[in-house]
Amino acid sequence: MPALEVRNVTKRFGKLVAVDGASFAVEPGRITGFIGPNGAGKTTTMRIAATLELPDEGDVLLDGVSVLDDPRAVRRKLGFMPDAYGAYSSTTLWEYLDFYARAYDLAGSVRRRRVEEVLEFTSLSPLREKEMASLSKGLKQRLCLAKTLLHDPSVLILDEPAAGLDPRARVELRELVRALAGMGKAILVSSHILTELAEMCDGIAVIEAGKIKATGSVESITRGLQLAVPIYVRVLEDADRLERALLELPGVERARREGEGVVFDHAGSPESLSTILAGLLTAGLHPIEFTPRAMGLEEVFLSLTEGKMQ
Amino acid sequence: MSATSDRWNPILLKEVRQALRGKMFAFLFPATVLVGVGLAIAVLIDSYPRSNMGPQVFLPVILVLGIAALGLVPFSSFQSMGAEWDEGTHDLLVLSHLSPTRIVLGKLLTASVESGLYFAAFLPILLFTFLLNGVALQDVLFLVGMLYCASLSMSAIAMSLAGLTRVRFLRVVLLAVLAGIGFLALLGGYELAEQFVLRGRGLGSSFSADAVLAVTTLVFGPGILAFAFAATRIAHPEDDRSGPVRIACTAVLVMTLAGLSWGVLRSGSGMPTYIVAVVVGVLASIFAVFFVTEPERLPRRCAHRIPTNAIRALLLTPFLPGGGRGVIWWFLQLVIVAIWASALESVYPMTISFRDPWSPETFGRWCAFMAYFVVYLAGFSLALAPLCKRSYGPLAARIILPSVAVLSMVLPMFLGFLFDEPRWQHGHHPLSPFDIIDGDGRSGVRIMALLVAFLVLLANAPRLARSVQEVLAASRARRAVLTRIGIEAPRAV
Repeated sequence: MPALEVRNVTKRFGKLVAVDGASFAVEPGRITGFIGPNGAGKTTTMRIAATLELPDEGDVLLDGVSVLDDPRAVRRKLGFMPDAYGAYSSTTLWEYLDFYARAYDLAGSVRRRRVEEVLEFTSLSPLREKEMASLSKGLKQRLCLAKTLLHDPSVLILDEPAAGLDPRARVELRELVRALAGMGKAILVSSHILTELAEMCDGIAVIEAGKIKATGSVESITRGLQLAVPIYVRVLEDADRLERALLELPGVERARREGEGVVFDHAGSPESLSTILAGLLTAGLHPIEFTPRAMGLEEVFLSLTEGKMQ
Repeated sequence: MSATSDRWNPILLKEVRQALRGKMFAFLFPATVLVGVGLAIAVLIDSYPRSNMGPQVFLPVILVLGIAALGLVPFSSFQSMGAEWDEGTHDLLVLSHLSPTRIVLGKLLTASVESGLYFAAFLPILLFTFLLNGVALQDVLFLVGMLYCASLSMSAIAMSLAGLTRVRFLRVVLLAVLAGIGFLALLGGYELAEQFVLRGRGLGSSFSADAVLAVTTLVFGPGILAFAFAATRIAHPEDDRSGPVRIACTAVLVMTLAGLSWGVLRSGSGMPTYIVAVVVGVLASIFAVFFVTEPERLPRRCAHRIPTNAIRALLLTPFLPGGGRGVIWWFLQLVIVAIWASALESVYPMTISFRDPWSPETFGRWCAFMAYFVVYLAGFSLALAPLCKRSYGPLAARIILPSVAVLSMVLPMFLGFLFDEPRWQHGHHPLSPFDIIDGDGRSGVRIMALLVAFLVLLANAPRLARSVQEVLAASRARRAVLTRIGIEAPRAV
């Protein structure tokens, strides 16, 4: 059973359809990147999953519990980190976490131990007596993540956690999220920084204009879309001759020089790739490198979306 | 503190910690105490060596305390509530295990602590005035106690106002409204204190009993309502945002009626019960405007909290959201008022200042008067029900409905001026319910009003039936779900 299952969710704000029949699932121990252009419906979907909005149609299940049937039970299983996290003035880190631990009904030694654990996990222990107002954005994000973990939720929904962070803070956050997935938590994370997500996520869900365009691993989506995969070829002979030979072969699209070799796009089957290699040999060329390149998240995203906004 | 405070409201702890570290309280508290002490010393020096200096010192000091209790403390509550929207912590709070009621209660407890600190600082000075002669100790304690309660009530009002909107500009307007209410409360409180300590009308006098009754109602009634309203403002739109306010309204109604009974029985004379009953009924009708204009359907998250027992679900029906159930709630209030009036009248018949209140003539008069409210509330809310389904509908209906009622009374008066009809100019026209009470020989209009009200009730019958059926269906559905997942066995009803 998926830890988080979005089932055919539709949400309208007046005439605007913010989310249109969205469906996807997140498995325990996996990180799913939720990507889409601005205004695509990411935050609305996440807020519905977090019980903060109600879907007009469809449902979201957390460990099989519906956000409609039992939002309180869902909240016990869920950790939600909104894009605009809340901070209290004149409050130290420890007081902030202690307050939320109390708000989650943690009591006595359990509460104190849990606050220490999340401070330790997010490496904020040395700053426990610091006021929140004096923290950098990166530290505040970490604190918000610590707060999200207080009640040990099995599902985490992180809305743009890396927004506005410097490269070091991003790497640290990525490591934290990876460690959480390693603990078996299902994580849905949205971000505009696709390279960041590519390094972090086991799978993605792409949304545009409220509709889910694709879900799964980047590789499976690439295969499913039959996107042209760039293939790098290097031969013992001259690269110009290689380029000409490639362009004459069936199934080769857009060959261009790159360093000592040539890159061409191939959208066909493995058989047609083998035919191309055989064609090069027939043409008297001696390949020393013939490498399909992995499709990047950015390429997949750009192929799937048209930049539509609502 | 951390180890022994597990049962404390988390909001109270957090806000006390914030206040202790914050600059506002750290500056305002000593400044206010200094002003109070300084004023007391100045008045003392100025009044010396009079024999009864108590009132001269007491009044300015309680005025300063009043400014703190009715101004500074509610302002702090207003800011605290508004900050939840501004600082983006509202969502995080909603996702925690804290219920809206606990959140608002926590903020109210914070106000009580803050207010308590002011009172602790001022009480020695106020008690000292007793030693200066001229002020009775019980009066000091009563006035201080009432001021403390008024401070909490004002804080609840402040929170409900702050919860009205997330728009900062509008909140500034609401802050001005709060300041206006605080100012009026301060003036009223000061006048009461003056009556008690300067005019010798303190506890034990005939004035004080009525004053206690009026002040208690004015302090606790709005406070209870504001508390319930503030809690609903924090709740999710699809949660029950109506029930707590309905329950609070009914509680205030019962409290008011109890107070009135005590006042009537104590004084031995007074207004006829009928008049009081109708005034209270009209007040309940004003609150009912908010409930009868709610969307008809039960909010989705509310349906899951309806009792599985059908009888309990039925009893809860008037207190559940929905326009039809709002009409039922209103009827319930009228029934409570009618029972109260009948009971009081049977125990203590008050025929002194009113001609035979039980005569069919008088009874018919009041029934016809209330018939107008049936038309306004049940009739117009039924007509506006389709509008109330839309997001802006309830607000629009809440403007339209009273406007129609007022216009129907005022417009004929203008027509009276236009067509030179003196009776209409003075409000004596068939659309005015007050003419029914005042005027003699209006039996035709009365019968017409009753007939129209009867037709409105007939038209409302399907709506009311649907609203009850919806509750019973939700109760059955919940019972089925709980049985399916094995939480609760079905109960025989």
